[in-house]
Amino acid sequence: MTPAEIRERVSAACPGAVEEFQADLLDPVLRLRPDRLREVCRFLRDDPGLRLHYLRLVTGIDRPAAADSETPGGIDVVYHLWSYELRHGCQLRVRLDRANPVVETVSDLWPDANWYERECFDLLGVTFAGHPGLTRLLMPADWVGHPLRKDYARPERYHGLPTSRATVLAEGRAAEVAPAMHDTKAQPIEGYLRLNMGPHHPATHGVINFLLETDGEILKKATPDVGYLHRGIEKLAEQVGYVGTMPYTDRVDYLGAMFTNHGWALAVEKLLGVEVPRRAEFCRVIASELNRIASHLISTGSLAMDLGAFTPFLHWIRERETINDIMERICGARLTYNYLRFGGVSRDIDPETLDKIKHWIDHFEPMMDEFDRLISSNEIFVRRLAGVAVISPADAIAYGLVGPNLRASGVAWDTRRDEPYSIYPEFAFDVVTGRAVHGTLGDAYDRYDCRLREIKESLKILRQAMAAIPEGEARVKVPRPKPAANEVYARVEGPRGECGFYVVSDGTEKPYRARFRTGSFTAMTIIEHLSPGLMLADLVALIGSLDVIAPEIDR
Amino acid sequence: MNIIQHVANLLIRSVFHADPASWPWTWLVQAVVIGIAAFLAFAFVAIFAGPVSWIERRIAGRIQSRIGPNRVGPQGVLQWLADGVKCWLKEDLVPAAADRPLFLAAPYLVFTGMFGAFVVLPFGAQVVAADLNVGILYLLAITSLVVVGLLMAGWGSNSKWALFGGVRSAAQLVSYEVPSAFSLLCVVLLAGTLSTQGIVAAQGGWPWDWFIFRNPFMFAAFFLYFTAAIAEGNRTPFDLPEAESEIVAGYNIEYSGMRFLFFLFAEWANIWIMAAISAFAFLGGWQIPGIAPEQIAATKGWEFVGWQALSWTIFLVKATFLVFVVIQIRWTLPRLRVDQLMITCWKYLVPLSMLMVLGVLVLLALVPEGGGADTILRGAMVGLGLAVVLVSALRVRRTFRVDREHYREMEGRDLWYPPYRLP
Amino acid sequence: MIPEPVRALLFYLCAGLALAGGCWVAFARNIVHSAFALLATFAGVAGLYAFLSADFLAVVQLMIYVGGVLVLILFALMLTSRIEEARVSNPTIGLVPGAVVLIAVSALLVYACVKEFGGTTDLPPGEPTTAGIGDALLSRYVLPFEVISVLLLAVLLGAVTIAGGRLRKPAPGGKPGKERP
Repeated sequence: MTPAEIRERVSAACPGAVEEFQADLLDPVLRLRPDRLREVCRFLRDDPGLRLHYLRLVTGIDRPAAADSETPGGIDVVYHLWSYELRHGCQLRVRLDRANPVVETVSDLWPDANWYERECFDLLGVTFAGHPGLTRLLMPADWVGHPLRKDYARPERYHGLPTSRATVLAEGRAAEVAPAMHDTKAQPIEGYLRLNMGPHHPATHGVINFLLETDGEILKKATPDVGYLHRGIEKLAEQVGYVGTMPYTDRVDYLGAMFTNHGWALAVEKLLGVEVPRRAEFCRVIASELNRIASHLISTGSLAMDLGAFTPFLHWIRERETINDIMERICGARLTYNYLRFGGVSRDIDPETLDKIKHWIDHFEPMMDEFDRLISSNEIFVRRLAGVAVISPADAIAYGLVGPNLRASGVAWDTRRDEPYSIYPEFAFDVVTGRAVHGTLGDAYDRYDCRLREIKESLKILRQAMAAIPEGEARVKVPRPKPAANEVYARVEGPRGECGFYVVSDGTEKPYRARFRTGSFTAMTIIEHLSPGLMLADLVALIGSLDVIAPEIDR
Repeated sequence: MNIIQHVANLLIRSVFHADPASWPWTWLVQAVVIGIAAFLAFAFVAIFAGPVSWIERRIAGRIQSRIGPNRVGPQGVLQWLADGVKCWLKEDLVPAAADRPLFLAAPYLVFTGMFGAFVVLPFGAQVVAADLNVGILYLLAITSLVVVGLLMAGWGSNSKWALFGGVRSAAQLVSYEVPSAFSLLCVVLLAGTLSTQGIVAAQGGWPWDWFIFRNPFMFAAFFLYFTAAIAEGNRTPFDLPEAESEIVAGYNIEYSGMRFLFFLFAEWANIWIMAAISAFAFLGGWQIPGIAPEQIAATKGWEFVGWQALSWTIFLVKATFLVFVVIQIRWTLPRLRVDQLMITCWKYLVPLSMLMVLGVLVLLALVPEGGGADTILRGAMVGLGLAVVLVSALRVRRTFRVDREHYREMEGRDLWYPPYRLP
Repeated sequence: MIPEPVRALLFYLCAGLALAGGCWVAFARNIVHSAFALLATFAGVAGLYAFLSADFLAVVQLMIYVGGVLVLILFALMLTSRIEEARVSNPTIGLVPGAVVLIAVSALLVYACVKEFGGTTDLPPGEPTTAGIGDALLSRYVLPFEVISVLLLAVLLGAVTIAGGRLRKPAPGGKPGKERP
């Protein structure tokens, strides 16, 4: 169904709810009346012809009143919705009064909206009426101000610590300060042991805190407490501009840096209407698939390490070293690549590097069998993962899981095949879904197994790409990108799933709003739902199998 | 005590020029000599615990495609000394809210538990610190000090994670003592004595005289004991109490410096002890093929010393081989979850080990020693053991060959390099 | 054999350890310290057994009392939720009546010991006792032995029932625990 048809259907079912249909945007948006939001959302989700079960993203955009115009200031909240079954989606927008932005929550319709709305509240000050626990998510609980507002002034001090570099340099070493309160703690439950897992913990894949209520070994609830790695990259993007944000996207997902680069480049290229040369697309795909393999190596290896098998991880690191060396030949860096540019890639891949890649693939494929023999069919490993933390397909979609997490639960959706971008339609590869090889469909073993098989699919794509790479230029120069005022949501399939970039441009060199949609963010939302009844060791297996990367969550 | 007395008398005669029988301070010198002997025994234990740590780290490196410590001393053999010195020099951190006496005393208790076990290990034909006539039972008893020590460490650290680790660990150790004791009971039944030297003397030098090959139940009992011993020693796959990735080292979490090293020390010494117990209880200990213990006892002078050295070497070789096996198991397998661990113990190991005791008893009653049936059983078991070893060796050879082919194809060089060119 | 002064030293060490442990158990403010001091008492008593050539009994004392009973007491102390503040949970009350009882009882015990054993210090010859105990348990005392085995079986079943029953009952406010394979 096209956006216009969706608009007709919505107008028919909820008359008067749609105030405006912004059809001239790259992704058409329905502007709704704020008090009709819930009604429309419920209709969109439940109508058999629409079935928009997947809430992709909730974004808040601050639009202060212009100095000269009469349009009052407001805060936009934009909802991106999608249906996996019917392959269509729509975008909604509500404009709220800037002085008192209140709108009803949709977290009971789509569970992943819970955290999205908390982030919106945290960074923009929007109140969501009816939200079960509207507290700050990324900033500390006692932070003053809403950072993503355009008129945000950073407080001078926080618990006695100066917040600007100049002050720090002027004053020298800070005196005794009270410990910062990052208090998003859930209420302790009587009779249960309250434990803190993190933020420094070997098994939490980054700096994440978990507040556990346990009855001995068995968890009653595990609440993730994030925000330790919040660096304000979205706000930084507004200040450094399109070109300057490219290296920052590396730091959003450091294990899949090529994909965040690609997503950002894709978004801006759509805004500019730039066509990328074929050779550059091939370079992008080759580098991306190598990066995907590297990321999956780390995630499967570290899952094994979290479960006590130290050796497979080190074998995978050994293999990944060669990928790092190849990447260094391609773009000069081993981890944070900053390889893509708008209109192509920064450097061409020379034939010698292609040879090295081919050589490495031939060496690596038998290694996968060795790895399987070592750990994948090990009785203890299987027992630890099979049947643990089963995620049903409906839950996976409702909680916004993407990537291998989603596919392991049986939903066969891969952005490379189903919302194609770049030259992926030219390659033949399978979309890997869970097979319930041990235990139930959608358990931790399936997620692990999916990643391993995805490595094989990436190897297939790499071979095809290297065989078909044409001659040509690696880049089309795009001087000083200044896209006209528009909005776009571009997504790529990263190792942690859909890596989406929602960019609002305003005709200048800097984006008006840059929003990153990452797979780990929504993966965290499901942990609290799954945790009752799990054992502590199972929680570790769950976090490892979801492959969360902390910087992706916090940005 | 005789040796102590002799040494003390010697000292008194030569240094103080007094007659030990009538000198009033004889007992003091003897006490001092006992103290020195204890210190030497401690150093002796260190000689075992330290190099085991080096062996473990080098083997771990090899398994993980890396090298392991190779800087301090040739091939890194002095790494453990360097670590020891470093830990001595570290700040002795005691958490402010910790229960101070318990926190400080716990590592020593754990260490005493391990250290005490060395006293009855029969290293050679006449070489045993104290041939207690309740040797095996003493071994089981002294390791219960370790349980109390771990609980002390967990509680004294005043940290929930430490308490988790300590309690889990105590539960695990106490549970796995049961199959361990039952398997050793099979050995005692066959040997007829609790004394460790007696158990070794009841076996012989040749493999078919070893207890492991006496009958199928003993064969299984060896593996049951080995598994239970690995669990007793908190080694992967049973290393939940020290699970680094879950509870961040459990009861160790608040310890640093030398106290921490004591725990590790005790763990490495324990690996050696489990291997040693398996070696002397099931694999014939120091028995030399072809010569009986009485004949060794009858020799004199340098020949006596030679036989002692040979028996010591044989015991060390057997125990060290089992140490290798324990280390390789650790770096290959993931760890069991705590309920899986308990289920393995109580639902599988305990009934199986009880079955082994029953089986050994039945066979002891039915099959006379030295008769035809006995020889058949022993022969069959030796055959089984040889088959297991052969199959493993062939498999390793096949994998090595495949890897060597692959390596030569990829790198153009040969995979094998002679040991003297180890990096 | 062991010379006389060393024997005396050993005896005083073991006895002192047992007594000191006992005192610490009674007088410690912190109940967990009391429990751990019990270790010293048990170890001292085991030493005394070894001193009296009761080798089997000494080792079994260590195994059962230290490795079993003490661990049980410690688990009960550490995992119970009723001891609010472990540090000062053992107040000393009734010092004067306690002292009176102490003096009276110890006078009685000392009198009984001195009267019965009359100052002799000869130790029994060091013979292994394991075989003798085993024989006695299976010939003369076989009925108590079997009855105790049945008692232990009943204890085991009771413990499993009580602990297992708690697992089946749903945890307060949560869903019931599941059986794990």
